[in-house]
Amino acid sequence: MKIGSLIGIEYLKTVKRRAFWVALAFLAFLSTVAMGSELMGGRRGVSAPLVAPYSWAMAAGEMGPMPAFFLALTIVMLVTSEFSWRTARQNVIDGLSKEQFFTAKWLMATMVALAFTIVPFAVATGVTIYGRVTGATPTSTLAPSSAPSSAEQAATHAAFADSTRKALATVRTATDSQRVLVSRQADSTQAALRQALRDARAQRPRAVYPPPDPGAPLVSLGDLKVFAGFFLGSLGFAAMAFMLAMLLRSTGGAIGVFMLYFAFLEQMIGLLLRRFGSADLANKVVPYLPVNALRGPTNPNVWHEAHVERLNAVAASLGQARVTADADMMKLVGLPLAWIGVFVLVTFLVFRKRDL
Amino acid sequence: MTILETSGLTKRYGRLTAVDHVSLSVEKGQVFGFLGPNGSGKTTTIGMLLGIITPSGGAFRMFGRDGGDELHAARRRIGATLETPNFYPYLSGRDNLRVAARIKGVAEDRIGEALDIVGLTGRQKDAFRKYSLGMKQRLALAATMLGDPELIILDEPANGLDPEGMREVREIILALAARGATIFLSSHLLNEVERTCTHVAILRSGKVVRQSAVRDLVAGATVASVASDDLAALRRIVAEYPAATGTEERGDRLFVHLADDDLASLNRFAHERGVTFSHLAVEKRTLEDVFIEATAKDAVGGAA
Repeated sequence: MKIGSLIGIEYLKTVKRRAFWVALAFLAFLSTVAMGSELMGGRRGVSAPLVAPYSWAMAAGEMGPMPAFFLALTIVMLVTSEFSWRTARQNVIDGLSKEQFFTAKWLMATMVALAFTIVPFAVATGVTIYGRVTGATPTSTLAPSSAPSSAEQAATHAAFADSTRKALATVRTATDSQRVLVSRQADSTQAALRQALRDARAQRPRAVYPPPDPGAPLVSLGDLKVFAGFFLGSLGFAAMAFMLAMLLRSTGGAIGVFMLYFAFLEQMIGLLLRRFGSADLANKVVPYLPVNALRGPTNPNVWHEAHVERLNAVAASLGQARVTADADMMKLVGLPLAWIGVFVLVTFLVFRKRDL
Repeated sequence: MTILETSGLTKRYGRLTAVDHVSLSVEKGQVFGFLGPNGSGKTTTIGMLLGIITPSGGAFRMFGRDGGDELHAARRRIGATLETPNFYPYLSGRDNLRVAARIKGVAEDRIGEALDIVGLTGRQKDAFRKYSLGMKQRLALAATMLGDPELIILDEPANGLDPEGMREVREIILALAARGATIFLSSHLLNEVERTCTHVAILRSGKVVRQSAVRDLVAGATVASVASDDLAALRRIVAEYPAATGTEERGDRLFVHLADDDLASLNRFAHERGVTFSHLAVEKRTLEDVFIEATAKDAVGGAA
């Protein structure tokens, strides 16, 4: 049977599945909220978070691992249902070989990974266009890099120490008759601390954003590289979810193991290596573990030079350290491909051997 | 022409032997019933024939082909279901058949005809999950007949259906047989099998204990059911009757197993000895009798 026919069969099964569209719509919604909240002058006070020609790079940083979760959920759902409904079995009875069924399912997983990469980047372009049309420009008081500068830290500490001293002095000098008022004084201590934080924030240096270039292409070559990297990482998470779904054949089990590993187990391995091996060993091994390896290519800074230059310009205006990106192609492309190969091959070998 | 042939087909799960050296032979045009109590290995056997369970031993040939790719190609000439009808619940009946047709490489314009035969044309756009059990079974039959397969394998096609549903399924099966398809169906509904099948094999604990034409299986020794006012005298003369091979007593009746089918001779024998029958009838052996006999504990190692 031709590859085209296999894709046709999977296409029919997938596009008529409401849950697939619900997951995709939910991803689109959350992407819009994540990027749009900043557009509305949200938590960081950025009025136009995405600026061409690096909007996709900015979007990739904004989204983080969220699309990977949705992708994994969707793939698990699309794969395990073939077992719970016994349709995998029926497909083979109807004339697909187990190898063809496997190929069709993996092609489906690839297509779904592509769809789940396209959607958030399409939303990003929409947000970029909105920013360009409304003429909103970035006016943040904070650099995109989350680490505060040393000057900022010193200012915060000073203000903090000062107001804490004043508040404690008030409590200490209270007479016995005033003890009943302690709770109220505790409140005033808290108020003093809050004021101190506000003062510290006001003393932060302002970030200087390079003005957006209205003539820049909406999607640049660097953006496409970011997209490709994001897709590679997504494909890796898709392969991981695919493997768990095909081997465990249960939705709850596969999602549970995926989440557990994704959020917890890999760090645990790192900690155990540190505890029972050495820090050196942990540093050597941990970057090669799947979640770290697959998140590597989703980091936009390794693909988009202009984006990194812009980040550094902002960082310099805040007196922060320069952003560096380790663009080791073996690690960024070779390693994820190797993991994808391992996941798919293991799945294939076990699937072929097991009864349906 | 032999359509399906197995020799020594075996499946072991650890220490359990689910299917034990099953040898079957299905000829073209037969409606072959595969009988056995629940858990006797029917579904496992069919699963091996359909390539979703790997046999632990033995071999089988379909359309005279065996081995890997050849068998795989042979399977496209088969329409089959295993256990319950297996479809995508969110897809309509028609879309489910489209998936099946694409896999089988059958033109989609044949779907309408299949839906028509099973009487689902009016409900073809409804999602499968909204179908009644009878409709689900009928959709499964529609899927198996796509592409005019030479062999149709059905696992418990009448399972869970009401008498009306069973009749519909039986009629569809007979119609498929009339179109020239060879049919292999598993069931534990003996009455259904007796009405539809030409041949049967009876499976017990993974072993084939009987295999023959239905006609030959239910023929054979005659059982006479007799009654008389004097039951003691009746017992005595039956015991003396030379052609009687055994008796059973149920209520006021005596069931006499005869070596021949000469009821007149039995009647004369009793009358000459002063016993008059108040009832005399031939009890036809049904498939159920054969089945119960064959699947009784001591029957293992019978005609395999």
